[in-house]
Amino acid sequence: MKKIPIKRIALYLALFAGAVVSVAPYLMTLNSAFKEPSQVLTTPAWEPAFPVTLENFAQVWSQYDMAGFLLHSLVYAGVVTAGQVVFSTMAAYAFGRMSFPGRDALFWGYLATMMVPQIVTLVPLFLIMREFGLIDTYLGLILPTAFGTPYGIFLVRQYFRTIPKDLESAARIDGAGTLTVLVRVLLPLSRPILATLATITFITTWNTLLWPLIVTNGDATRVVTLGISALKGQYSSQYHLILAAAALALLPLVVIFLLFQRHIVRSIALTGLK
Amino acid sequence: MTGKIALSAVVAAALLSLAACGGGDDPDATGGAVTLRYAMWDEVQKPPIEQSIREFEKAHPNIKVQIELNNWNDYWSKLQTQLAGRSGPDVFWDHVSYFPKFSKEGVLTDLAPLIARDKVDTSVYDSKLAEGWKVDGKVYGLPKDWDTIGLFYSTKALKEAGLTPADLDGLTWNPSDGGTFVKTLQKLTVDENGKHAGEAGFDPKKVKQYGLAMQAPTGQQDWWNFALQNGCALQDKPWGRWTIDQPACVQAIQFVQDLRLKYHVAVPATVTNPPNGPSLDQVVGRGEAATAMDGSWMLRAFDTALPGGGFGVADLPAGPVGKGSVYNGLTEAVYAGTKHPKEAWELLKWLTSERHQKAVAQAGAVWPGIPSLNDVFADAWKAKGVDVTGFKKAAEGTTMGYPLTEAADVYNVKALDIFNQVWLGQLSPQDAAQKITTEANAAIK
Repeated sequence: MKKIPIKRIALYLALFAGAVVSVAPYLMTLNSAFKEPSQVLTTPAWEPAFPVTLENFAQVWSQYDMAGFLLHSLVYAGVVTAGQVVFSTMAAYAFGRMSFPGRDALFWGYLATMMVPQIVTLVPLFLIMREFGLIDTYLGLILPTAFGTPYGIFLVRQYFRTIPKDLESAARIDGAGTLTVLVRVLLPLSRPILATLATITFITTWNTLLWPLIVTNGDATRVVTLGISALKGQYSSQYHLILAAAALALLPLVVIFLLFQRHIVRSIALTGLK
Repeated sequence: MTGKIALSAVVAAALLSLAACGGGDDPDATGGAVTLRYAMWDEVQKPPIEQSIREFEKAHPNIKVQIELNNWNDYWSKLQTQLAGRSGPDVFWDHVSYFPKFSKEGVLTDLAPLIARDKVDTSVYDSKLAEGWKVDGKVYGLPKDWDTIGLFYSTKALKEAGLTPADLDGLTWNPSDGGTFVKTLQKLTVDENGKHAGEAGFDPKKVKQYGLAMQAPTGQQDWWNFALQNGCALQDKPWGRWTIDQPACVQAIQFVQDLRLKYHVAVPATVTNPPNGPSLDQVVGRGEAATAMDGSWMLRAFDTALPGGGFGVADLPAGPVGKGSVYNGLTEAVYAGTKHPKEAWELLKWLTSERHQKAVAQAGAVWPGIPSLNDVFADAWKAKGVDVTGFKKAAEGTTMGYPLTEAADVYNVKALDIFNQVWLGQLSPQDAAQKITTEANAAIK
């Protein structure tokens, strides 16, 4: 006779509730995006869209440069992600494995900048970009975060520290230099954490509103968050269009997550990060 | 090893190519043509404005106009950051609540010499609106549009209560028993058992539809109007001291609180309090309220929420001293630090011209800054079956301008917090009035 696993049932119920709370807003967004404009406001968000209409998507696609916004976001998030993966890895190796005077002070000092709210550095950063003539350019958009962030470097450094030093020593005995060690020994072992970093960076950058708002002006650099945000009027909002645009903006993120999901789960299992 | 080098090469190449394609906006590099940045916040107005600006560009082949649209909140964050960085847009929309600060900081171009030089006829604008933008003989903007407050109603809700639009005419309110305004709102307030507010057995906790919805971060769409109708002046004079602690003002605040907490005819503050409450076109569109006090700039929003004759507009009720509405307008302003003052002035002249404002009015976007074009706007809405002339009557009647004060920042922040508490019943109107008056006056030097 097996006992009914009450604990297990309770656990699954709690997990299910958690899943509903996290997933429901996305499903409601997706669902409402297919509703007629008048229904968006008059029917509950969870009521299935009927009749289903693609009009919102068509309107958002034709009236606004959605394709352009998505492309600009893709360039912005893509380059920042590539930059962060490369430079965070290098910095993490320096902070985690090399020894030089003042290493820890430098690291913790750099990490401490995480505590400074973005809004404080906003105007100075804007002034710097203006001095370099980078206002309303992709370079101005990308530079502040492309060379790594404290968070990314911390993430990778902590992971590097879990890799046994002996592996590296063995490679050095075989005549490998620092770059070879980094690329041939550490990187292959670090794929899960790099995938995690890439995913987190991509999603964060994709969702950033404030910096693009301040530093870009024209349609040629307008990213998708700004495009959607502009649809929000002062007192009224065209929710049918906002929801359709949001649904479109969500798609690339879902694709990214599905691609890297395996690595992310594994990296969490490996590092014990919770 | 090779993999890593290849990757950094890709990054470097990407950065370089982006640098190349991102920097092409420098006007001087494109053979004498100038690109002007024109910043605005209203999505609804953009299409007709853009169309008219294309005509402007045709008439001025050396000028290109780049419209920069961001929503109200983002607009001000961005504008203020860019002005701090001396990189503001060449021409932009200005609002009275930010104007005093801007005029003091010197970020606005004084248009007076240009107006005199080009002999621009400023008598076409309503002087009540244009005057507010003058400081010491300097003119910091020309009127773009105007707005007043009206009572938007759902035709369906009215019909269900057995009322006609005519029943909303000539309503009055008073601080003691609420008058016919409250009586009518009671008829429009229904609980889940079909009982109306004021009836025996009415359950204020289970209301299906409220008579009225109100929402105003500053007071513009709610209590300022009642204050005016009750003989209260918010300030002793323009640019003067706040006088909200006067009895006539406190009574008006009390009345708005009573509509919610005593008469139970207005949507509770838990739903409507700004900045997170849904906008009122949605509240009425969802059938949670039968009417809403809102500004004329909301017409297009109500038309989307309640299409096909689903809504109408009635006058605000009259108070103890009569009728009255807040009357406000935006201006087009030129950035003092613009690199192209000549072209920016040309654009501003176009935006405040009869031709441009007529095109925008025809689209039913906003009442035009030039009053002689008012009928164009009214006719655009008449064609849709909505009579909007009440807004115009309100503008021509007793009005109160948006308060002009150097304490606008402080007032805006404090008022939002203080009055949200009053509407929730957590702060008495008397205490609130005292608090906002003291704190806003303390910010005046």
